[in-house]
This record gives sequence, C-alpha cells and structure tokens, in this order.
Amino acid sequence: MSDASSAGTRPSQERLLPADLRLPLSTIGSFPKPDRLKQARAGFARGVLDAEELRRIEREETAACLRLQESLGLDLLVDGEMYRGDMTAYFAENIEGFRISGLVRSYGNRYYRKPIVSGPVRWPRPVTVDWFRFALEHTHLPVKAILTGPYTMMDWSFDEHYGSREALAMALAEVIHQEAAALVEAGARYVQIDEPAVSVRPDEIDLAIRAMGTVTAGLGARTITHICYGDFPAIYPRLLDLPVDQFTLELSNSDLGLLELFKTSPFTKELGAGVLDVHSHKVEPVELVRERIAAALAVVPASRLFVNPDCGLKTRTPEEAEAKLKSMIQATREVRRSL
Amino acid sequence: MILASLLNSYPRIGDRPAEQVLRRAIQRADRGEVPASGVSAAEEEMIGLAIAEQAAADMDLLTDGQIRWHDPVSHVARGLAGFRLEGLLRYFDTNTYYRQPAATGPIGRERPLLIDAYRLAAVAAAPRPVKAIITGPLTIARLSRDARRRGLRDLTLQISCALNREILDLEAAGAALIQIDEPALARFPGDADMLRQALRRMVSGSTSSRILLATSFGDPTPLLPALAGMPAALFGIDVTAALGREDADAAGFGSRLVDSFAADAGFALGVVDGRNTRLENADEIYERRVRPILSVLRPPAGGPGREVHLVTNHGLEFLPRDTARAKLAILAALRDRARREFL
Repeated sequence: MSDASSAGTRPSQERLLPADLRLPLSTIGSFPKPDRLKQARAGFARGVLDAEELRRIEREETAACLRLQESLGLDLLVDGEMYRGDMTAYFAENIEGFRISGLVRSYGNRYYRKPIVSGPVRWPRPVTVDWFRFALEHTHLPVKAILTGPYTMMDWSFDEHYGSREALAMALAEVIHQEAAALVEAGARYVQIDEPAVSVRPDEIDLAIRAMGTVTAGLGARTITHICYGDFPAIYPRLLDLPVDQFTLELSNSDLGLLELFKTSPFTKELGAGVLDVHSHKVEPVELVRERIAAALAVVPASRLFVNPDCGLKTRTPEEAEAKLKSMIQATREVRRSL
Repeated sequence: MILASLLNSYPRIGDRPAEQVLRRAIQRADRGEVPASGVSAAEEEMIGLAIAEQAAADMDLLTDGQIRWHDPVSHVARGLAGFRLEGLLRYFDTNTYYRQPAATGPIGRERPLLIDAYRLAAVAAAPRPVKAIITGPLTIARLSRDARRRGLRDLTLQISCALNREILDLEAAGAALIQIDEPALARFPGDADMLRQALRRMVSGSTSSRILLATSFGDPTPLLPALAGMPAALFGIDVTAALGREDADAAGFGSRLVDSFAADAGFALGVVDGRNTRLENADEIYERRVRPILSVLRPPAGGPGREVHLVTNHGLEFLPRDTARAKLAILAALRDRARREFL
C-alpha cells in the first residue's frame, strides 16, 4: 500500500492510491484554461508570441492546476491539459500521418479543428511523457495519464488515406499503445484512454474492443476508459468487454439514467461515477451530489467506485469548475464517513 | 430540370475573422457584454454570408445554412409545446451533439418556428429561390425521450400534427419547396409505414408548395419502395452511401429508382460526400455516379424530364468552410456537365 502523503519521497513508479481509500476522487482530464493562457494561445496562433513563451505559461498553469487539485482534496490528479486544444487535434498534431483542418462545430458555440488522416499513421516520439513527468514533479499525489483512444481518433478524423475504418482504428491502436507504454515506463500507474465515440456506432463495438485490446495489452498500469453522451443501452453490457479496469461515465447528464441500465446486468468493473454536469453553469449542491453518489453505490460497491465529474471541466469557467469540485469533494467526504 | 444545391446546413464559422463574427458575438453575450440582439445580428450576418457563398458557387436553390440551429432536433422541438429539453447526446455517428427533447405532455405548436428565418433568407437570396427545411416527425420522435410513455407512434403522429401548421405557414410565406429531413428513417426502416401516415398529416392542406423528403445517415437502398409511397414530390437519396466507396453499379441503382418511384417523382441525389474532406474529382464522379444514374432517369424522347437536384449527401456543417466551398464548386461542375449532356 502506498501512502499518498509521503509518496513524493518515493520513486515515482510506486505512486499509487492508498489501498484502503474508499471512493477515490478524480477528474476526467481537462481543466478550464485561465484567460492568460487563452490569450497566450491566441497570441501564438497569430504569431505574436513565440513557442518558448507559450510553453512557459503552459507550465506555470499546469503547476497551478496541480496545486489547485491538491488543495481541493482530489486523490488522483491529472495535468489539466493546459497544453492541449481539442482531445483529437492535440494527438493528431503530434502523430505522423495527420494534418489539421479548419474549424468545424461540435455543439452550440464550440468548434474544433478536426484532424485529417492523409498518410500512414506512425508514433514519431513520446507525445505526453514530458508533461506527465512534469506533473509528477509538481505533486506528491498519484497522477493519471490521459490519452485519446484509437476508435475515437479514427471516428473523429476525416480519413483521406486508409479507406477502411477498421484499418485506420487498428493502426492508431498500435500508435497509442506505444504512447501508453512510454507513459508507464515514465511511471504512470493509471492510464485513461478516452473513447467517447464508442457509444455512437453499436455495430462497431467489436472493433472498439479489439482496438482497445491492442492499446492496453501488457501495460503495467490500471487502465481506465472514459465514454460519454452516447447510446449506452445499445452497447451494454457488451461495453464491459472493453479490456480496461475502470469506466468513467457521465451519470449526471442523463439524470442517473445509466444507473438504471446497469441494474439490467451487473456492472462488473470499477465505475468512475460522473456526479457533476459539466455542461451546466449551475453548481450542484452538496446534497444533490451526495444523492448521486448514493445512487451509484446502489449499483456498484464502494470498493469499485470512484467519484469524478461527468466529463472534462474545460467547458466551465475556472470559478465554476472549482465550485463544482468543492461540492463533489465535500459530498464524497460525507458519504465516506457513512460507509 | 437539373439543379445544384446543398442539402441543408452550411458552416457557421471559418478561419477568416469575418467568418467568426457569430462565435465572437455569442462569447460576448455569454460574458454579458452584448445583449441577445447582438447575437441575432451576427446570425443574420452569417446567414447572409452563407447565402452569398452559395450564390457565388452558382447554386440554383439556396438554404439559410441552418445557421441559427443549435442542432436539427432541439431547434424544432423547442418551439413545440409538450417538450422539455434535457441532456446532450451525440447526433447519429457524428462528433456533434443535440440536446435531447423529452416529451412530457400533449404536443402542439406554440408559435411559428421557421417562418421569419425563411422570409429573411428569401429576401437575402433573391432572385435565387430558397428551400425551407424542417426536421421531420419521425426523427424528432426517435431522438426524443418519451416521458409520457404513450409510445413512438403516438408521439410521431402528435408531432406531425403540430408541424402541419408550420408547413401551411411556410407555404403562406411563399416557400415553394419545403424539405422535410428524416435522417432517422435509414436507421429505423421499420418505421416507414408510421412515417408515411405521419407525413400525410404533416402536409395535409398544403396546396401550392412541393415537398422534398430527404434521407441521410445510411444506405437508402432498402427504403426505396417505402419512400416511393410517401407524400412527397421529390426524394433526397444518399447516393454516396448507396453506392459505397467503390461506386458499385450506379446504373443499376438508377434502374431501382425508376422501378420504385412514380414517373414524375423528382430526386435530390447526394452525389458529393458532405462528411469527408477528400475532394472528389468532378470528372470521375460524373462518370461513375452522375452519368450512369441520369442515363437511366433520362426521359423518353419528347417526355417531360424528371426534376433532379445534385446535392451533397449531408449538410456541410460537418466540414471546414474552405472544404465546404470546394464541395459546392464540385456540385456546380457536375450540374454543368449534366445539363450539357441531358438537357
């Protein structure tokens, strides 16, 4: 068992959550970018800020994000993705075979630069490992590494090269496995492979499972996947065959509807229960979050339950994100006392 | 008559500053720096730009680009009584979302939904005509949550009755062609009979306008016989999905269209892929998709020609703006060749 409070004195490879910790608190990955970072990114895009200066600001904000998570009381930290734009575009910018398109809409007033696969995809070098090491150096707590999964990278890119969804997904799986292995080599003991697109095409769940199998094969780490906003009834319980240890899922957006689904067939893996709606400005009262945790506990035992927001927090303002997390942490502590 | 047109939506953003006025206006409104009217003005500016780009690409029939639509489902449902908007869900197999309506009571139209937008677009596009676009009752019902638990059929029919008033108002506003989008049909082909009944209610009393029933998000081939019985003058067919990547047997597909539909049925043929940035070679597409189908659809000597629109198989909001413009140029080139050969 690792003692998180003294983990900083140990080699990073041993940085684990305490084995007796119930309802570990974590997040999905992204945090809101502060205004100064947004301005810096815009300045860099316009060519008025150089890469080194942008990197300096990204480092400062990443360190601040880690401090915030520690001070709030989260157990399993993330680096906050201050250096990433969109979850697919970031990796596409750093993997061979991609180019980046113009802006396309995601929802409402949110846009992203959708990647285009224009040649064979290859892993040129570690993409996120330096940031993972940076995070480890700035906290004593365990850090979760976050990657975008091969099925989602495939589904959310324009394919001008492979002409086969399967061929592209499996090629990407090899690439992402290499990145995941490099993270584990650097000390990652929790690796989350985000696959929000998995719930969109039920007829391709087998492909998603095979691709995830390639990514997680032989990884010496706890593996997690995050899936959200999709047609879960169409893929449950087959979903549980994705070869990972934990699923972080959005429960609040669906008004806990997913928990009803999990009553139809046992949820056999760890569940990271989404207890904060990241698409709402409203800060959930502690009591509401407590009720959501209690509802999750009715489906998954405390030994297999983690607590987190529905999805990445980058959709919220820094103030909203912090207030929501405080509510989540307070509620979790209260539930822990009742266990 | 052979026309070129985009199917429905157009990007509401681009990489140039002038193409980002709407995003900036919404951001300012979110921060309380401008009133909601500022967003509305920016929407109108982007609608004007979408129309201008379609006209510049020499499209024959324009749309307002659905610039004001947050998504194809909630934009219509939010104007109907009996619906409450809930959480976000992905829209079919796209990386875009829609806000899911929940049917909580009797469905009715609270106010005109699309009339002002149609009038605005018609003025901006003149003298080119504009097609009005509305999401159909099956798609809204299928993508909603039925909290009333009275069943899909009841919900679909109630929506169709509510939308009947919208069809009649669009017609009164001068819409000569009204496109009803039913992307859910390809996913739920067993709903075809129910949809036919719903559409009859939806278009009941319509006299001067013509209906274009558009399908997407799937191979329409198994649906052709059922589509032929729907109350529409034109049918939107995703040719790209029907033929597959290898453009298999386009002439055979054309024959299926002839065999399935009435002699005066028109088609909006989705021959250009609206969901992939890969730019089709117009000459190649013409030879492999357009010519074989039009050769079969060609009228007998002296007979009236079918109305054919060459369209993208999806709205173009899934593409970056520069690619969308390039796709329109491909449509125009296909239309020009088709006219030279078949008119």
